[in-house]
Amino acid sequence: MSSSPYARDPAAGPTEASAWGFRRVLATNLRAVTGRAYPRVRGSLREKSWIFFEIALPFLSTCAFVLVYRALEAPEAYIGFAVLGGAMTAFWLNVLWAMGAQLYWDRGEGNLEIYFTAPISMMSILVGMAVGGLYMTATRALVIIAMGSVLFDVQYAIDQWLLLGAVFLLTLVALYGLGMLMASLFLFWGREAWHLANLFQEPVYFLGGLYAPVKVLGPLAALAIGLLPLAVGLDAMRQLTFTQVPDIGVLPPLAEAAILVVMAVVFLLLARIALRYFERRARAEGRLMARWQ
Amino acid sequence: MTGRAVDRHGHHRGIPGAAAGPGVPRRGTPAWRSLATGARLGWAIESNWTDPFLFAVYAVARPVGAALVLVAIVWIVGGGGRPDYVGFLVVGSACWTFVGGGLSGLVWAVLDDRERYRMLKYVVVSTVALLPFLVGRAAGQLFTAVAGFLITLLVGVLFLGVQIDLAAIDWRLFVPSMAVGLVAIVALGLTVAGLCLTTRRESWSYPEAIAGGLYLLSGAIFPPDLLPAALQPVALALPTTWWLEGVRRALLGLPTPGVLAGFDDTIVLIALCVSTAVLTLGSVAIFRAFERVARERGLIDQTTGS
Repeated sequence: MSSSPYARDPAAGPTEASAWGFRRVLATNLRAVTGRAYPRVRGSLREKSWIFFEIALPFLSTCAFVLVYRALEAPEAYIGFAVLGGAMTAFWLNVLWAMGAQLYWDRGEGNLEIYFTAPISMMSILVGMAVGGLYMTATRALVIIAMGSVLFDVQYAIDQWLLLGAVFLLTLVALYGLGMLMASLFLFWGREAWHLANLFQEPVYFLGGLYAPVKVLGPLAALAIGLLPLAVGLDAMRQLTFTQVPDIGVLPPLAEAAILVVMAVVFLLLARIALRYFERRARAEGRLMARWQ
Repeated sequence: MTGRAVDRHGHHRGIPGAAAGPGVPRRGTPAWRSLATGARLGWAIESNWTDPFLFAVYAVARPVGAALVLVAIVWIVGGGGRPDYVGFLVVGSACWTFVGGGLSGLVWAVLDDRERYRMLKYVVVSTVALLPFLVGRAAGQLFTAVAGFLITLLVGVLFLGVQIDLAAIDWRLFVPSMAVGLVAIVALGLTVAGLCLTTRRESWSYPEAIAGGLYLLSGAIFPPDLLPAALQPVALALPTTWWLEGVRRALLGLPTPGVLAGFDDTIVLIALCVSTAVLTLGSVAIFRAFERVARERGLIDQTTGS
C-alpha cells in the first residue's frame, strides 16, 4: 500500500476513511481555527503599512473628538471618553471589514471555494478569523489607549478591575459574534457587502456611543443597548473606568454584563443558522464562486 | 528609425493616440470626452449595485451619522445650549462628504481598474487621456456626496436647530467657494491617485488616512486655533480650511471664531483661490511624475493581489 504524505493514519478502505469520529472532527476543526487565525496573528506585525493605518485612522478620529471636547470646554474626564471610544473604534472597523466583508474578499480571491471543499465547518473559519482579528486589533487598541492617555493626560478611576476585564472580554465575544453573523449575511450579498460595511461605519459610531455616552441618545439609547454589543460594552466600561463622573450609564455595569452574555450566545447561534441558510442559498444560486459580483 | 521607440509619455509611436513622428499631432480623445466617459462609467459602478432607495440611504447615512456623533457631544457637554457650534459642526460634516468622496473616488478608480477590473492597462494604451478619465471616474462619488451634503444640512435645519435661511445665503460667496473647493479636493485626490499608481493595492486606506489628517487640520469640526501652534500655519496654508470657511460664512452668515474671523470674505476667497492654484499645479505635476514612474517600472498592468 502506497503511503500518502497527507495521511497520518491511513484507512483500510473508503468506508473507514469516511467514518470520522468526534475526536477527529474536533481536531480537524481546531486545526482550521488555528490555520485561519495564524495569518492574522503572524501578519499583525508583518505589514508595516497596515500597522500604521490601523492605528493612525482611529487615533486621528480620537484626536479630532478630543479637540471638539476641548473646544466646548468639557470636563477633562470627557476626553477619556473619546480615547476609550477611539480604541473600541479599532475593534468595530476590524469587525466590519475583516469579519463582515471578509468572506466577500475571500470569494473574490478564490479562497472561499477552498474553505467549502475542505472537510471542516465554516464556523471554524469564522472563529479563526475572529480569534486572529481580535488579537491583531487588541494590539492596535492598546497602542491607541496608551498614546491617547499620555498625549491628553487622561485620568482613569477604576475600582472594579475584575468586572472591567470581564465586561471587556464579553464585549469582544459578543462583537465578534455579530461579526460572524455579518460575515454569513455578506456571503450571500455581492458587491453590496462592501457598500453595506461602509454604510454601518459612522451610524454605529453614533448609536454605539463611541465618542459620547450612549445615554445622551435618549429613547435611541434603549435601541442601541438592545442591538449593539459595542454600545452596551462601552457604556459599562465607561462607568467602570471613569467612576469620578456620576450618572453616565444607561444601566448598572453588572446588568450590562448580563446583556452581553445573552448577546454573545444569540449572535453566535444566529451566525451558525445564517451561515447554513445562506450557504445553501448561495450554492443553489451558484454564487459561491462568482468573483467580484 | 532614429530616436526613441517611445515618446516622453511612454506611448509607442505606432499606436493610436501616440505621435507618429515629429510634427504629427497626437490623435488622442479630447479631454472632455475622456472625462465624460469616465464619469459615465464611474456613476454606473457607483449606483448600479442596489435599488435607488437603498442607494439613497447609503449616500446619506455616513455624513448624517458623522454629524450626529458631533451633535451628541455638544448636547452632553452644553445641553443643547450651543446652537452656533451645532451649525459650525453640521456644515463642516456636510462639506466633508466631498473630501471623502473626492479622495477615495480617485484612488479607488486606480486600484479598482488596475487590480479588480484589470482594465487600467487598456485605458492607458487607448486614446483616452488617463488624467481626465480618472477625474471622471471619481465624479460618481462626488455626485453621491452632493446628496450627502444636502441631506446633512436638511437634517441640521429640521432637527438640530441649525439656522440656514435660503434667502439669506450669500450665493456670491457660496458658489465660488464651493466650486474652487471642489477643484482643490480633486487636485488632492489626483496626487494620491498618482501615488497609488506606484503602490500595492493595500493603499486603499490612504484616502481615509489623508482625509482624517485634513479633518484635524482644516478646522472641519473645531476652529484651527485649538491646534498646536506649530500646526496652525499648516492649517492656514490648506485650501480646505478656506473652502470650509467660505461655505460656513455663506450659509451661516458667521465667521469661525478665532484667527479666521480676522479675515474678510474677499481675503477668504483670494486665499482659497491661491492655495487651490498652487495645489492644482503641483498635483498635476506630481500625478504626471508618478504616471511616468509607473510606466517605466511596468506597474500599470501589474496586479498585486493573489
